[in-house]
Amino acid sequence: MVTRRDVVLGAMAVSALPAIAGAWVSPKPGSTLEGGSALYKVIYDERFPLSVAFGHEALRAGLAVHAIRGDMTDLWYDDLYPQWRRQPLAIAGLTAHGPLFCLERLSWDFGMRVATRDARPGELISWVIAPGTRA
Amino acid sequence: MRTPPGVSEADFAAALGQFEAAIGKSWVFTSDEDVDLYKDAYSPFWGEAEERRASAALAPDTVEQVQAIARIANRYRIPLYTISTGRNLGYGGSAPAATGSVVLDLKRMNRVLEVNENNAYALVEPGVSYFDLYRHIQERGLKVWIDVPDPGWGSPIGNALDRGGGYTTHQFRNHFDSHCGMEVVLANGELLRTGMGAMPGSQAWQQYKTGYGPWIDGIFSQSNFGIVTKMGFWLMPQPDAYLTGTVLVPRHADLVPLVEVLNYLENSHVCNGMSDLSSPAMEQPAPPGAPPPAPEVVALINKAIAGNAGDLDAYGASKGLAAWSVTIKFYGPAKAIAAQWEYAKERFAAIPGTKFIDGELIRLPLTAEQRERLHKVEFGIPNLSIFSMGARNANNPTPTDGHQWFSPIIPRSGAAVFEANKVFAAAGRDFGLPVPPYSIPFCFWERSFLFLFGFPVTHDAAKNQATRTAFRKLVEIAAEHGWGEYRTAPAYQDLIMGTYSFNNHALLRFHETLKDAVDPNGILSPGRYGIWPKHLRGKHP
Repeated sequence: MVTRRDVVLGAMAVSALPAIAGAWVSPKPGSTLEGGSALYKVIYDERFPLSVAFGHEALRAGLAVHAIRGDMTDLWYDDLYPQWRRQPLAIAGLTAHGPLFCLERLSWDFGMRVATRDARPGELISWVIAPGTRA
Repeated sequence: MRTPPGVSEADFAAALGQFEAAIGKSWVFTSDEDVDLYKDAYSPFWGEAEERRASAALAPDTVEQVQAIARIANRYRIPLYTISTGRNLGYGGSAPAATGSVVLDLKRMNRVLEVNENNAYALVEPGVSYFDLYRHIQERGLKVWIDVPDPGWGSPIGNALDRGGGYTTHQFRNHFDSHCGMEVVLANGELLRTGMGAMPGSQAWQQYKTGYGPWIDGIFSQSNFGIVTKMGFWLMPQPDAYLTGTVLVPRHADLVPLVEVLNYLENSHVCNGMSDLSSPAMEQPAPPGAPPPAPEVVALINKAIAGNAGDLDAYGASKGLAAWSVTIKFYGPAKAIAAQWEYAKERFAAIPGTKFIDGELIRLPLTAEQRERLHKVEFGIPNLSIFSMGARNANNPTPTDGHQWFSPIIPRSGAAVFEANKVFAAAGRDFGLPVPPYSIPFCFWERSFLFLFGFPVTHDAAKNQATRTAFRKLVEIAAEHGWGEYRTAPAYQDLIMGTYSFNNHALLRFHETLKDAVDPNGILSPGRYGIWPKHLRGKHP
């Protein structure tokens, strides 16, 4: 169940995302990626109320979101891999270690890196993966 | 910048310059930020001086570039450590066996060169992942399956060369056995093809394994005799249907006849899937995140391990829990596999008190709903779901940072399972290892059982040191009983090679003779699987 605390914490995590991602992916703070969005997708995990609140807040903020339930395979196979082959774009999430571990390693092959990684309540980690310095 | 052992900074700089000329500056990685990506995510030496580190990494795109790299490395005696995708976590990842080696990362060589639907085979490069090959097949609507490990983000070539396995039929789930033909760059840069590929213009490279003369493919697996740049694999024609059937036997001692019948059925290929053995009465193996058995059940298990299973049998009977169950699996025509299951039931019925549960007959291909709920790897579908299973919960309050597999092969018999549990339960207690109350073997390989113990890797050096000490003890104890590991991480490769010591280590001495002949400068993956070049033999850390 999503509690009031989850909503507040989720909103706080979301509020930092565009600035974090924008600062990482562009030398000009505050600028956006091609297409007008600093973030391609925001990932949340339906198993964790705080992560669900985070996803809902991201949606309210006008960001594209993708829900997982621990396993990020479909997100990777159907969405991120085709997108990153065309153009590596930043993603962000509030997930457990497992999905981040996989996404981080898969992103390396596209010259991307984890730009931020912050432990959140419980076992959750808020993170941004963004294009790095090497193509 | 780190330098390879025994290589001067000037020579290393010269070699790097020539590597850049050969493959392009952007594919020679020397910064700490880039090179550190090749550290083993599950290193049992996390943060310690012994942690394996590369000095640089190279990512060629073509066979010709690999040949050029080998020639340059020979010129400057640069040790190269080859990886395909470097994702064999728990068995070493992408970190070199010898610190200071230059990682030769083949992931840019990711072309699916051929998939033949009619004769069910593929020819791929090392950087092709299971996802890549699966996508290639799906996008073309080809009716062939791949066999994938769990997780499925690795490379068919890398996994086969490390002798990994999967989950479909016996013919395909031993990934090295299912290969057919290799292309190999030798240490001197020369190109070799094995099997029918040795004949110029051969039309059957992926259709006949052994070619003519000595079949040498095996020496390129778990070794450092060459750099495999292409490999063929036999694929599984998409079957019509899949069926499971579960056999339940009432007494602990029934494991002996249960395994005998299972062996007959598997060895006769009556059942062709990977069987799953478990013990309902002992609640083993426990699913991820499940609570441990109650103390009173553990006490009964310990009595059974000691040789008195009467109380455990009585407990199982009172709860309606079988002592053992085995789920056997069939791939093939629906009518045929239904008949095979009926035949299997006749054979198992010879064990008094046996009960059966008919599984669901699955018509293939899977529906979306079936795909969601079934174990994907049994249907050749690569996935990463295994990484979502270690999440923190009430029964797993402190998830680890990785694991190291201790994986001994034991004989395919009930008696061997009893004996191994007696030994490993005692060793687990003695050395404080998280051995489950009762270890149930896996049926990955034909003819043998495999035990898999995933011992934790943490970011606490003292804990890792204790685990390594215990791991080493376990290797020694297993070897004393004639049980050897099928695969291991670099941290233990010397130790385990040392247990295959028949006739004063004749096997290792033969490996070393080969190594000296085919790689006299010792540039290829020094130390991999305990095989060291002459100049480092006995001198490595």
